[in-house]
Amino acid sequence: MTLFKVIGFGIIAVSLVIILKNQRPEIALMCVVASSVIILLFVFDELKSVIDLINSLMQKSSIDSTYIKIILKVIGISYIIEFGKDICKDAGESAIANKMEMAGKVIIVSLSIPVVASLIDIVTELV
Amino acid sequence: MKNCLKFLVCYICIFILFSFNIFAEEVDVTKNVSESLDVDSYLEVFEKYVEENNLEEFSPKNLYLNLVSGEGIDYKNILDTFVSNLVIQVKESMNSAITIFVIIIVMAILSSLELDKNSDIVKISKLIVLICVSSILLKNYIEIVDMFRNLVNMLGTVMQAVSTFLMGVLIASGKITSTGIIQPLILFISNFICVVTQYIVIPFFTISIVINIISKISENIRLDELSGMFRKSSLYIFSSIIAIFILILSMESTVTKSIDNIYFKTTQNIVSNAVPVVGKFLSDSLDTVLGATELIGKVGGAVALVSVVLIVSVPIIKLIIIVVLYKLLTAFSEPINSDKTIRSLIEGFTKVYKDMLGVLIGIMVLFVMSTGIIMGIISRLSG
Repeated sequence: MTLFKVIGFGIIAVSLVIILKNQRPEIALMCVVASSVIILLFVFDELKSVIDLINSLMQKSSIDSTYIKIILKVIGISYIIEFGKDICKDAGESAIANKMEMAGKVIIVSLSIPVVASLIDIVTELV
Repeated sequence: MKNCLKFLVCYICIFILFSFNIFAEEVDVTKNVSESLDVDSYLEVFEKYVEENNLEEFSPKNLYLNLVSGEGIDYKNILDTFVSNLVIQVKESMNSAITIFVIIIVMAILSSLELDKNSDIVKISKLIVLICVSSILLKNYIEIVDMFRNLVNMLGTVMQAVSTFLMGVLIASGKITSTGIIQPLILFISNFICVVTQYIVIPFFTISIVINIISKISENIRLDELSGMFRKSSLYIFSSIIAIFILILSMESTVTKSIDNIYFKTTQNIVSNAVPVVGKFLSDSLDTVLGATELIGKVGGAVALVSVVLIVSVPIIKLIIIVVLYKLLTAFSEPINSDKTIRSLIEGFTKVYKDMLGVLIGIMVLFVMSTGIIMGIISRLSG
């Protein structure tokens, strides 16, 4: 059902953008951004079920949940940054896209510091 | 004549009087030999390790009593213990299976992340996921190494206990030459194997694992061959040591057996022929005591072999299940994830576990062979 929603909304948004592009290009761009965000929101529920499955598996197993949480956060940030970067590139703003990517990298690195520290601890303990 | 009669009556009276107090004392030779060899404290070593490894269904003391009384080995009990142990290990490993399944899902998400392969942010994300997977695998590795280290120490202790007991049996039976050469050798082997495992084999495996992770984390640094070299070196060193010791042990036992047999036959002949009247009885008594000693020695050795095989079967089963699960993980991840990095990381761990399994089986074989060689010398006591 979500698939049909996404496809239907996408076709309507594209038609609207094509109409607006010649008459009001600035509104067409806003329309692109808004429709992209709405499409992303459509799939959030689907994503939630995957995360719930991983959480339930984590409870059953002995995995340290911090690892999976960090992995999920990193993957989520990567998706969002790529999404934002693509929108910026569509709007012809490559400079902002690059800065956005840089910001994403910094956020991911800061988020992953505990994991890297833990790996170093484990290796030190081993050696 | 009267005096002669008096003497005869007195003699008969004394004879009758003392003959009432004469009785044959029943002596349990096997029990006496068991006590002198301190079998109870020997069996306690196995009881302790059997209990530590949750194998309560199996009792080395009962096995010993059954064998001494001639009832034989209760194969059903041993099989039941083995099967219940197998079931426990499979259940415990299911936990690892779930862990691995979660990793597969993470890998699937990671593969779907490939929005733009050249994007830096995707590369960083992959690196973080790789570090997380490495940490999870390393934590499992630490648990397995701890188990491996404890097991090797335990085998060393058991080997020392068994050699001390069996050497006691050899000394009791007059196998002085064999004892003098083989005991130091076996004690040296048990200590040396522990030291080699602690300070060479496990560190080499660990270095191999760490190099494998570094090789996968960095695209520019490729150290797969170095990792393989450390892993294989530890295996070669260990195999060479085991081969050399088995060779020396076999040679020494073959040489010393002839000398001891000559001593034994000479002693038996001297006792039998040189001592007048009771020489033959003494020689037969010697045979009885030696027979009991041989029985105790063989039974003690058999108890040691069965106990050790059962105790070692726990980590061996665990390692086999882990290797199979990791292989399955690699196989499942192939269609899900086109990226080979995580797959080859897991393969590196699998190879180390396989080699660890080989080392463990090698130590067990060494134990079984050395015990078998000593038992072989004991069984030649009478012949």
